[in-house]
Amino acid sequence: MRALLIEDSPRLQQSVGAAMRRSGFALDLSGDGEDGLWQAESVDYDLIILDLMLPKLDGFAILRRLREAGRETPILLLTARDAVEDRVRGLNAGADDYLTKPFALEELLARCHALCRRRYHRATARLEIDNLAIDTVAKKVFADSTELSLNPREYALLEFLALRQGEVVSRREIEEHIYDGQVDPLSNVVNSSVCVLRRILSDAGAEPRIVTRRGHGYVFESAPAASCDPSDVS
Amino acid sequence: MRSLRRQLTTSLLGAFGLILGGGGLATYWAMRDSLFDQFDRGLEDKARAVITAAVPREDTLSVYFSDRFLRSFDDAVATEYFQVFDPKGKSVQRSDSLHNDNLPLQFGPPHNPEVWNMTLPSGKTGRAIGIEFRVTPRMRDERPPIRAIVVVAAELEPILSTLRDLRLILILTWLGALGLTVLAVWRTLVANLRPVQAVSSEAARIDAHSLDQRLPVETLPLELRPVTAKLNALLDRLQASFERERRFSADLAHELRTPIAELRSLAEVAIKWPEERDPETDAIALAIAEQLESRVTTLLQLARAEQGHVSLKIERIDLVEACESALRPFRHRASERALRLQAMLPEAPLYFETDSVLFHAILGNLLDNAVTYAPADSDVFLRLFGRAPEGFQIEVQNTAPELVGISMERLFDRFWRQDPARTESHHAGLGLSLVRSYTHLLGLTIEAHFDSESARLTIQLQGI
Repeated sequence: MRALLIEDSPRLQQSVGAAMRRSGFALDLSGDGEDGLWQAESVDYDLIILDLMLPKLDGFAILRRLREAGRETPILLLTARDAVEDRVRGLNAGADDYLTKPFALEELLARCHALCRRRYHRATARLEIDNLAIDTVAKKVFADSTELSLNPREYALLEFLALRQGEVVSRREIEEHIYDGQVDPLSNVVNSSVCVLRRILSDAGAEPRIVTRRGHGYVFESAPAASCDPSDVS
Repeated sequence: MRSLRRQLTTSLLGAFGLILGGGGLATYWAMRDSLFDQFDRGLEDKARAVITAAVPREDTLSVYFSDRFLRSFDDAVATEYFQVFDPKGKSVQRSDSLHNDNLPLQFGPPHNPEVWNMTLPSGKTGRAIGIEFRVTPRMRDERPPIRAIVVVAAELEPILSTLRDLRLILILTWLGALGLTVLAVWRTLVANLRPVQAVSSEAARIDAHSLDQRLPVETLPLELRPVTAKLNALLDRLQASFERERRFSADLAHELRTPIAELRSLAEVAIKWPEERDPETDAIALAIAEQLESRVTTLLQLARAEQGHVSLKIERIDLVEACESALRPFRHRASERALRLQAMLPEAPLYFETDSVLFHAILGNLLDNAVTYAPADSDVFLRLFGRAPEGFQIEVQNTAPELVGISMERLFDRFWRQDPARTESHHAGLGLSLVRSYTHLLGLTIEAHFDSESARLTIQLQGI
């Protein structure tokens, strides 16, 4: 999951940023409204955490512009303004959730995950495909009750593909949603990550496969798939 | 209780009542006099007609009428009567209408006949005239003129009836006019006051949550517009005041909550991932705590100052010395930012009676503001001069390009900062509010002036 945090307090950027990354999010940061809006418009984030009181362009303006442009990215407002009218105003303006400062970090993380789940139309935190079970809260993957050992990047990739199971996911989409910053378009990082993930899955005896669709991308499905081909180009 | 409606109605009714009533009465009396005059002249004419028709015959008179003449004296018509008497009061001749009755014998000389009201033989009201006259015999006769008296009486009924009608018309007109006046007054008032009703029910609906509404002015009569316009201006001021309170609350929330949120997140991250603990954590936590402390302290001071809970200790202080000691802590910071901090102070001591601690706080805050917000490599001035007889003026001046276009009133608002996102965390925007509260407590005045051309902000502190 890739998220954008638009918050002008550097300390909060640091704390919340660290927490979100350690929870498995690829996170981009922005310290002012103009830059934040630009980033939100250039990348298709899975989630945006938005502070209302920002320099250069305030949170409400960003919210309005994104919604008017048709962006349906889930947005969580994080702000010190806690009056009912502020909350109502924020939600009516198009935000999906509202959290007031100071907040419990756990609650922030839980709400973020809930918003991402909703984005992919999943009601529960647990994904099950064939004999593979993914606990998106605990960030654990089980194949026939045996836990798989995955690093955060690998887990993020698997979760993303599993959430979009049955749909073709392009390499660019994977780049956008799993990696923060800008990925060099000439690099092979997605291919090699997919390859590694395939190996882990097959080693653990997982039945679902990541299938390559030449020229389009990858698909995670519960059917026998072709073998790993390092020269895949999408 | 004064009612516009009632007062207007009463005075108009009174005025019209009097005018129309007086006019009506005058008209009536004039008419009456005129009618009676005419009647009397008619009576006199008839009497003279009888006199003209009287012919001497031996010792007495005979009155000869043609058939057409004075039909009213006929038996059948019987609206008029005449009777001629000799000087001894004996009836000489009477009209057919009289039958065998007599008219009263009252008379006067020809130039001043007697006229009186009487009840006619028919029972109706009438009026009679009596004239004494002489008939001169024809020239052949040498007899003396014959004296006689003629009395003519006629019914007054036509006149009385006319007068009755006139009375009725005049009274009805009078009542009608008054009635219409009342009606017109009420309708005009109702029509003109209805928008006032509308405006007042609009006003009743305005409360703290709908202060952006204004009272409609166009529907009101001209005389009421100024009042409503003033009310709208009052609502403007009220709304602005509410807005400032709301902004204060929002800003306060931000200023206190953000550091707390930072502290909390910092701690939560350290607890959740102890093995990846950032070594800076404790230093950052301390910095946040200090920031919060200073903010809360300032807020408390402000609250106390605004409620007047500060006890003043008035003593005589040397303002020159106060300025010098206020400047000292800022010299270092000023040189760090390459600011030229210049003081223009008088040579001799300048004494003033005030609370030393608050005064120092005022100077400190003003200088803090100037030194923080002046752009690097610019000038900051502190000037002190005496104002006769026992007053002073202090000016703190710095360049402030970001204040172009800002209203000076807002400078002193609590938590006002030129940057609406309040990003820079060392100043909450409370300094100048505190300064203002303190100056009020000490009985001083403070004003901010901004020169847009040079972008210089001057804050003037005065005491008399």
